[in-house]
Amino acid sequence: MDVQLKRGLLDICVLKCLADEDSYGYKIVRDLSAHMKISESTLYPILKRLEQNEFLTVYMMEHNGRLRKYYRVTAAGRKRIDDFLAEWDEVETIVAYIKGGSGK
Amino acid sequence: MTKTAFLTELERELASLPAMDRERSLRYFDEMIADRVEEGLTEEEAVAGLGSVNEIAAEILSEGGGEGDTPPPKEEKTFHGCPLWLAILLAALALPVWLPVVLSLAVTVFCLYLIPWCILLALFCTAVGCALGGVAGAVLAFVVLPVSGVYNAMMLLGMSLFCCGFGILLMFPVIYGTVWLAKGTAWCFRKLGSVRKEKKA
Repeated sequence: MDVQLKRGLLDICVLKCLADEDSYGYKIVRDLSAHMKISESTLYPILKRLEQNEFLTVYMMEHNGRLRKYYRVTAAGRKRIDDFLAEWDEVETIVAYIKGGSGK
Repeated sequence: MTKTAFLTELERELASLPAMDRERSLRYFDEMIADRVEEGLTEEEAVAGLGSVNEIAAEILSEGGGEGDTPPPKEEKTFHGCPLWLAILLAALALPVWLPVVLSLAVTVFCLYLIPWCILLALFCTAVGCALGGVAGAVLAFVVLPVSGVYNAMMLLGMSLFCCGFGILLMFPVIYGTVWLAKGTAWCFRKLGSVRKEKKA
């Protein structure tokens, strides 16, 4: 798949994954792995980018005597998901045209 | 590979990153390995499952170029293409040359600016002088009336009134001139301010 497209999709997937409850890196990978191919090293830049764009906030919480970084989706992050879905309707219309036979 | 070995190698691979970004990457993978171990993997397995250090490092380094990822590199401040510190140093060294020139130019401009104000002040003094002189002459005409006779007193009174009128008349150009000059000054300062703003932008 086109790298840019995949990157954009994964961004939304991570936001969606966090929409219901806050989560941490390893759990995000595990949850998303059920639906797509994603590795820890792929997730890292995505989280960083989402945080820099203020779609996520992070906080540290203690777990088993060590600190674990948790991610929480912001209002802007939720809006990003909605925007994506709205955009995707447009994409589907275009795809339907591309697949369609007549070319008119 | 142990966790420590993995992190040490990753740190070396990421040497080109700013310390903060490197630290952040290391903490992230440290946490990943710890979570994998908690799931029941051995440390070796957990590290192996992450993939090769080279690939991970390459992925982190290449992502740095994505939009909105890193703030644009800090441009060194320049002054007409020369580093700012050098420009300041040169300016300081050339102080004995440019300071007198700038000062004399500033003084000249200031003096030129003062000239219209001086003319206005002179006109104002003339106007006030004429008006006051006229009033004094008119009073004098009555005082000298018994001695000088009616015709002389009348002439003096007429001349005084004329003088007074001339003085009052002269006040108008003085007032208009002052207002115009003050407005002009304000306009000049505004223009100067906006030019500086434009240069900054």
